[in-house]
Amino acid sequence: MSRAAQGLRAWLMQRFTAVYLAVYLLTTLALITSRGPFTYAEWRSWLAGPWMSVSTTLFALALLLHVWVGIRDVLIDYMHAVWLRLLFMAATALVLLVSLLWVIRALALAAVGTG
Amino acid sequence: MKFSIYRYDPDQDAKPWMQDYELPDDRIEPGMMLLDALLLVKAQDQSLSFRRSCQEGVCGSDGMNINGRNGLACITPLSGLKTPIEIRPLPGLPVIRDLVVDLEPFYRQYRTAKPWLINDEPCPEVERRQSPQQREQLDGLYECILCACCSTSCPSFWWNPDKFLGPAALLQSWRFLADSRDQATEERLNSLEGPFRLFRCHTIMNCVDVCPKGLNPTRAIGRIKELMVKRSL
Repeated sequence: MSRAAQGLRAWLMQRFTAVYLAVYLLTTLALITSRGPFTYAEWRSWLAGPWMSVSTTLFALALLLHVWVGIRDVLIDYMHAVWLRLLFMAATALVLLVSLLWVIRALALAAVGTG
Repeated sequence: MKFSIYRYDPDQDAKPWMQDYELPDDRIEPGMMLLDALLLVKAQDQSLSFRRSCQEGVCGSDGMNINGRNGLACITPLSGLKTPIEIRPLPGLPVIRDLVVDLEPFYRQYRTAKPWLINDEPCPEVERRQSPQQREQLDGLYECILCACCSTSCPSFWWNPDKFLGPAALLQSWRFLADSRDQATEERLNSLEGPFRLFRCHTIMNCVDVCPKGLNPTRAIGRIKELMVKRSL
């Protein structure tokens, strides 16, 4: 990773993902409260629609990136042994990647209607 | 008036300890500053060590932790302090003795910021002039007296004093980035890249809270980040 990616880019990523997370959460919350209560079937077809499935995938991606920058910040702040820090960062990256795959799988299953 | 003061002499003490002192109330005058009281305490006990010089908030020598908050003893009124007044050295730096800390880690970061004008043009016959507007950009930056109250109240500086510049040095970084006569913008911004030197700042704002001169290092850090973003676009 270049030096730029380690400082400014991570910081910007944290800012941009935070804005997206806030917008998504507030919008979906407003939608849910104004349209709900949902039945399970309504809920699923709502989530499977193009807008919701794309924006939710992006939400999951933004959330994981945001978590990555945050955890990385905590590890850089407090964990000074480089090898230990690398180990924890790798473990975090693994958990986040698996979470991303899981979200994509869940959304895909909702879309094809067999989940 | 009661005091509880941090004592540590590395040559004699296995570890730091707190010593209680008491000043008779008739020695306390209205409008007295903490430093005046500390000088009276020192008259009782000559072994108590602390730094002080100008006694009016200009030199920045007597930064210390007063009831859990960094400040200059000479401009901290006694009347506003809860007793017993607990006085400790500035946190996060090695203690040389009692309230005297080793400021070298702080100065090292200050040097990293290259706190001088970099301009390779030949010297003009007159001063390098600035417009009043250009000069105004330096207000709130040049007034720093390097008392170290801000950097030693910053958790990011506590955890990484060797890698993170800290609020005082970053305020100086911005002071020269904002200077119309300085030509080393690229070089200065490049040296601040990476995860440590600038980006350990998490906008905790303890620095703004404690600065005895009322300066705002957090805003300066924000301006540096802004400039970095502009440059990268």
